[in-house]
Amino acid sequence: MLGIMAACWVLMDRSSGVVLLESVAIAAIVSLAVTPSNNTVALGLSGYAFLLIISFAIAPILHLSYRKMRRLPHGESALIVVSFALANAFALFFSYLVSDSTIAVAHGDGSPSAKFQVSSAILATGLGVAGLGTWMLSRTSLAATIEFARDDQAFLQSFSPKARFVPLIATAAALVLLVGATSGFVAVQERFGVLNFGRFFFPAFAIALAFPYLSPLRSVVLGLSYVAVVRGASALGTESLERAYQGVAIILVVIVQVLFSGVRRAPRNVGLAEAP
Amino acid sequence: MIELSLRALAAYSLLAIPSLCLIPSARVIVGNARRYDLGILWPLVASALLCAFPFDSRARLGALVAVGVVMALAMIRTLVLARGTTVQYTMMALGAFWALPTVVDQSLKARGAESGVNGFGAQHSLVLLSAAIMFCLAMAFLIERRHLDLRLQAMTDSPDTFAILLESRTRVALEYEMTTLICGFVGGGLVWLVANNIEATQFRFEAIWVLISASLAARFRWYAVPLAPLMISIVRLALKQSLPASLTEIITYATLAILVFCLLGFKQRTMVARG
Repeated sequence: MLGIMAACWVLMDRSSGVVLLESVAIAAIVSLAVTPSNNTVALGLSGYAFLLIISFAIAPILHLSYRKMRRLPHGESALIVVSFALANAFALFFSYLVSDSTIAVAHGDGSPSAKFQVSSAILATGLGVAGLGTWMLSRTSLAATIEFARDDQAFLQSFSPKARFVPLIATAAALVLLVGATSGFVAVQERFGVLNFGRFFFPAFAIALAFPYLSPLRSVVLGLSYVAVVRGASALGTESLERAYQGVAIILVVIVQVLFSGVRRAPRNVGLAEAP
Repeated sequence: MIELSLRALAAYSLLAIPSLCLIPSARVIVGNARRYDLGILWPLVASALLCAFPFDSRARLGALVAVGVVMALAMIRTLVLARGTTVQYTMMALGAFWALPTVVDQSLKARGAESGVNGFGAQHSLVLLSAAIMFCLAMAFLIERRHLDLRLQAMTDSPDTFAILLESRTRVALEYEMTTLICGFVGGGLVWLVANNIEATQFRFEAIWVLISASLAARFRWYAVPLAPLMISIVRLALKQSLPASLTEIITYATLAILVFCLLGFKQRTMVARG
């Protein structure tokens, strides 16, 4: 999740980059999740490569579509719904593909000390990647350049034609971060002996949605707090209630946003400048 | 043969009635207020569960809690509609959509074997379907008569000007929410009457289909509003009968994504043509 948050920050396009990453993340995560882990797996490396290629091929199409959608008045609401629906469709589709395969993922030893060591290492790595990525991007102002390149058509006219590749380079960088993050996720899941994709999906989605309203540092803090609250609540109840806690947490985040910002934030008026 | 037809009609009614009852308010929030309300199903589910359980002392407490939760959610929805942005409303609705199936599942589990209480059953499906259509027409007419759609559109386009020159945003949001509550409570009662067994999976994707129907009916006049859910329900019934459940779920999400893409494309072309 921390890797995805870092990747989202790379594509800090206020909405399109975030939702793009979210959808691609789902495809990438599921494709990595079906990576063969022992000899009994029906899907081979070719299947994994195929799924990964599909995920990366979808990325530019979604990227261009989202850029167009975002410019419409109130298009951001539609973006949320579309990204949510696509992400779920991807996840269900890949689950359907592997449903006939006998994938044995529970091969970790599952001892408490091993769980603690692996999860600590993964958390430290994730924090390191997120922190380093954020620091580097702040130093190079790449995110500001991307934002400028996307919002202002004059950017492409003023600078060299190569400038149009800036967002694509950022997308590639974000995807690299994603692959790292998803690999870590799969490693943790295998160690725990459980492959529960749903528990990872919605928190990442929720945090990605919160990005347009928060600075990177606050987003990281919000993400960690969100996970802590949901996990704490789950510890009190059954695991199946986790989905309800996640939904309630989203509603609470929105209430806080409305009470402390509301419509006082100046509208962005995207699309008006381009109207004939 | 007759029994088969009755069963098919009952299955069709079960799919069509929630959309028919909720679409008068759903199409207003999608078309005029430009918000995607996936959390619209809460009042309907609460109403269906309230009707389904015998009203003993334990159920009375559960009923009070359910009504309290729905009313609290209605207050939150009113607040976010009146004060928040379209994105915030959509996010809030998404949270409600995500939490609902688990809450229903937990509620049914807590009741144990008492959950399968039905009303009239398949024999009265046609009557109940007709009642849902009449209710849909009446609510759509009332909404158009009170100009709730136009007021919501004006509030969305320029909230500050609307509040200064016209009327309170809270009042409009409250009026919309009351309409949704009425639609939901009536719809829940009708669902109980036609359902053989109320299950959590029944409501898992219902909000998505309501949204799809509402998107199609967004530009209809009040007398044409029932056509969208009636047609969409035929497609749903065909999908349900011919495909496995996992594929139907994928198609549900994919249809939602494609429809929103198409709607936005249509709006863009309209905007350019008007310009």
